[in-house]
Amino acid sequence: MAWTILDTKPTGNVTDLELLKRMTYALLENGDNDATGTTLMTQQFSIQEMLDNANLIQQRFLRDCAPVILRATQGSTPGQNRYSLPPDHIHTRRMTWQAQVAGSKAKSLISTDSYQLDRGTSDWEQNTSAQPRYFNEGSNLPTLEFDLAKAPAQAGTMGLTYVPQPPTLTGAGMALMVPDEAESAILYGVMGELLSSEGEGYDPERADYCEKRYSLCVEMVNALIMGADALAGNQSNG
Amino acid sequence: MAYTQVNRLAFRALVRNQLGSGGLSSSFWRDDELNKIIQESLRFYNLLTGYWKTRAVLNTTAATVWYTTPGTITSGMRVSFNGFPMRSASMYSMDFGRSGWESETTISGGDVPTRPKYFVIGALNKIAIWPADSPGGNSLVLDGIAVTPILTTDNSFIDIGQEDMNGLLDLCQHIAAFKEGGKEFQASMASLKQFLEGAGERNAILKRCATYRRWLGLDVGRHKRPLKIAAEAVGAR
Repeated sequence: MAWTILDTKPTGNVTDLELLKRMTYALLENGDNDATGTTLMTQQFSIQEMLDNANLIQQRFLRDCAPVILRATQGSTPGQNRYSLPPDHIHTRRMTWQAQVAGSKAKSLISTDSYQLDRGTSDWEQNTSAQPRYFNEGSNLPTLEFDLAKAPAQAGTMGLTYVPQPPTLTGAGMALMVPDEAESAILYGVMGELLSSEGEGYDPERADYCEKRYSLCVEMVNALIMGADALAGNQSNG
Repeated sequence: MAYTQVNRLAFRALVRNQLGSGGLSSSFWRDDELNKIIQESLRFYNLLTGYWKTRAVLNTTAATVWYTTPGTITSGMRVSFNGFPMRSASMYSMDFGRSGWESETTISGGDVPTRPKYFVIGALNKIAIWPADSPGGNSLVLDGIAVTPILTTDNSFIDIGQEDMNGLLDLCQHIAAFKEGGKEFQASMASLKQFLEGAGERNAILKRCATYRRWLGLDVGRHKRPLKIAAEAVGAR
């Protein structure tokens, strides 16, 4: 059974080409011309290297502060624990389960791991329950799979709120999936990676600066979503 | 101070003055480069302070809990339903304080209100309301941080107060110095601090950011203070 995705992936106004041009200028790779986003003056870095890092940083940013989410639903089979996550899943924000019986309510499941389940509810793999209370995305599971605990005894519907993987940036003018205001997070995140990599462009001071710019954006986006409380413990909203 | 409208051409000229490049277009910083630096600084400023605000109106649909934030809004701050202000709640407090809230509508009865009372920010692109509006067709007004204005041409204007221009010019100067690296870039850190101090005055939440505090050196004194506990030793004190 497959997930039904209820939303479309949002896009911002900042494009990968714009990012490439901005990096070209900031790394002095434009020579005496306007940056094109397709060629660099030297061989210290390459456009592909920039794009590869832009893809990695965009995903890292989405994982770090979950600025955009999608919702998806899938039917659950009575007695079955284990299910697959959507193929573009980065991070689960929330999981619910609702029995198909009329009048039942969608209830949020508590995130746990198999260590807690094994010690707290040791029959979770043998027995079923009318309403699952937990979902397990622990590290013991295969990639992109999760368990309901206990397996529901009746048919129901799982509701997943998750952070999706963004489309791969190719440099052709594709819009980023993060809000425009997070442009600096991606820009400095990528430049931090470039400037900390081995080679002639190695510059630990500016790489450290870039990492701080990235961190500040993560903190502020968390604050936008969760309010000032997100900063008190400096925790992610994920 | 009253807001002024500045177009990109004038903004770029101010940045050039700040950089000491005398308004020459073919200097170390190209026009296209400065345009991008200006746009980046506006977006960063909006992220730190939520400077530009806007309002969007959504029509509720029958028994619908989740709504997509309009593309003109980066983050919702206030929501009202048919003119009645709604209270904000976190997803956690709804999930564990009102189990099954997503299945409740304005006609559920019992202790469920007859009009939506709470809104939940799920992420920057999603908000939920509780209880869901059963008939639909009502008005949901979102006040929030607007997507940063985009200066597409030299004649594009932004609304900004003069008092904020100084901070933005400091930021532009600092960003422009990034490519120089070394001592020039280090020297521009003072401009970044000035900008951050101004942004912190506009948004007190920013002052709680760990990265912000490190940059401004706000916790340096605290780290230098000796711990109040006695040195560890075996046995009773």
